[in-house]
Amino acid sequence: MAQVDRGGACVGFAIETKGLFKSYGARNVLSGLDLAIEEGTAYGLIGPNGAGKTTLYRILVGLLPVTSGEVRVLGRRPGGIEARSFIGYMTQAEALYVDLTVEENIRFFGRLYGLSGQGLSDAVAAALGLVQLSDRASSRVDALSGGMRRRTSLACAVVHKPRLLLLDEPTVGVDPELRGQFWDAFRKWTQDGSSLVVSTHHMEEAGRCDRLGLLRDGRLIAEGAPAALLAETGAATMEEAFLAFAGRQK
Amino acid sequence: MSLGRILAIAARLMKQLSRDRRAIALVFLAPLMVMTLLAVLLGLEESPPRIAIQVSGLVSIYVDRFEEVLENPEEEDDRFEVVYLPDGMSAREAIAADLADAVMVFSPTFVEDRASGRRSRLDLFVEGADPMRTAAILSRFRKATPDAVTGFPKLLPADCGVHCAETIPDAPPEVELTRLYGDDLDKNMDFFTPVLPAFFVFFFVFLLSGLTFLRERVSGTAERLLASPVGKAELVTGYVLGFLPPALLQASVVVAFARFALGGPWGGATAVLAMVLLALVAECTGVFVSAFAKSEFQVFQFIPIVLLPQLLVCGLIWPVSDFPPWLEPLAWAFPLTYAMDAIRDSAIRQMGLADTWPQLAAIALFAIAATAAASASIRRRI
Repeated sequence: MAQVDRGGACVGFAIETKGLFKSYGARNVLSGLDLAIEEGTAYGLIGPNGAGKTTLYRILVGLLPVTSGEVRVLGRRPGGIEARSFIGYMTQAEALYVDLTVEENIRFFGRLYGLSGQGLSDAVAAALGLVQLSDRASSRVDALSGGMRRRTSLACAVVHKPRLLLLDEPTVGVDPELRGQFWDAFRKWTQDGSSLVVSTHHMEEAGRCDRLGLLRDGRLIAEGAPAALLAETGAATMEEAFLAFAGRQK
Repeated sequence: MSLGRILAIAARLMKQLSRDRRAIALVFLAPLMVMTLLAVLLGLEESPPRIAIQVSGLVSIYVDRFEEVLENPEEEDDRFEVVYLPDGMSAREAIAADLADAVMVFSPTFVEDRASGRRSRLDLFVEGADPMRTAAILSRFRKATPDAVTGFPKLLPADCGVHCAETIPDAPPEVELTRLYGDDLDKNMDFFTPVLPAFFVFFFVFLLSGLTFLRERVSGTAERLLASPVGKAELVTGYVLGFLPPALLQASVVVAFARFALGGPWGGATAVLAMVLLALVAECTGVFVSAFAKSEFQVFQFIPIVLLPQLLVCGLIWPVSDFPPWLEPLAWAFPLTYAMDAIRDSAIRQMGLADTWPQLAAIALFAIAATAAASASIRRRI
């Protein structure tokens, strides 16, 4: 149910798209995507490479204009300064300053979101704790392992306590143990009402989400709670379920 | 050693290069462009300096003779173009108004000195900002003046007896050089020391900002920055503020070296402002070109396009006023040209901000245009 926040914006959905198209020339990357993700949800966007996940993220954070259709992020048009200040975005790339330390990176992004003084220090400490990097705070990023860099990147995305966290394949190249730690961190995030949208093509991770959207060729081919999607297809795993839905599309 | 493996590496490199159209274009076009500019600049035929002769009293009888030898010397390369000044205009006024490159003035006792056998004196006024140009004018003038007086009928005193004329020496007049500006310039390097720091600031800020912003784009931090509440203007301004202190520190070191180790002149407030504005132009130009590069190598490819032509035509080495008509407007299309002009006006011609503000305003306009271009390019290829 839509509500009105203090800024007068209509909320209720973290993300809402209607008939969203994004084309590069004659090639449609998003083909009439309809999506409604409620606030406080951990939502998984599942799909193969080229399904349109990263393009959707870039539209949501205002980096790409849409070709047609409507988009709302926390009730606002994407790209506005207010919408951007509510979002935390972890890109596919590490997107870190490798010649700065872990703490300096997190502190820098915190300042971009308006944090300062003790509030900034507390937020940096909390982010470091969330990703379990407090003991490596003063290490330069270029001295870290790949997994630690991914954790630093996540800390940069959450330092300002965003209402909506967009994570673009955050567990690519991450070992199973660390993936487990990441998901623990993600789940903690939604416990206090924040929303989370995670894209992945690790099907085993999908079961950890509240709801899943199966994206293929720029449109949703199925959506629902993981258990419901498995039940609908009679599949034993999410991978089988995805293939079953993909087969129906053909 | 395996020939097959070696050929595989060579073939791969050639294939990669063949797909980099800009590198190919640059490999062929950049040398041609630079060589064309150099050919024009090195082949500049210096137009004969304009000289005016101040006529007063008795010396007017010498004027025709001087005009003749100055305009028709033995060697064509030593020729002057004789110009005429409005009545009552002083030598200094004429040079300051750029009506002449040099003004010859007879000393008040010129006639008496010639008549009495004392060495006569000519005063030669020049602009003096460019020591090399001054030296060239003086050399021409010194070659011409003996011819002007040798064999010229002497003014004999009334009481001169038989063979009196033979007793009066026929020595060429002494030439006293007066420079409007740059009296303290005692070496050619003094023409360059005040402006070189500005060039270095432009060069290094351009490269640093281009490479740094390219790294932002390639590493993904630019995507992250632009997804945050940071605005494009904030990003560009942050870059300016980040690069300005090192740029000014670098300029300070170069200026201090030029001033104290090389003993050159210093452009004061004009130079500081020109360098700050140039750093802004260079920073934004660097951000702008980074949008068209995918690697550090491609940023370096912009040096022959953005920096080299400016270096050649900005007046650092060759005076813009000597350029052919088609090249001069091109020179004034670059911010460095205005900076060189303003800093030399200040350091050598002793002008203040009240005189140099038009050049500084021109650099500021370049800075505004470069800022707009940088802001517009930021979202490209994120």
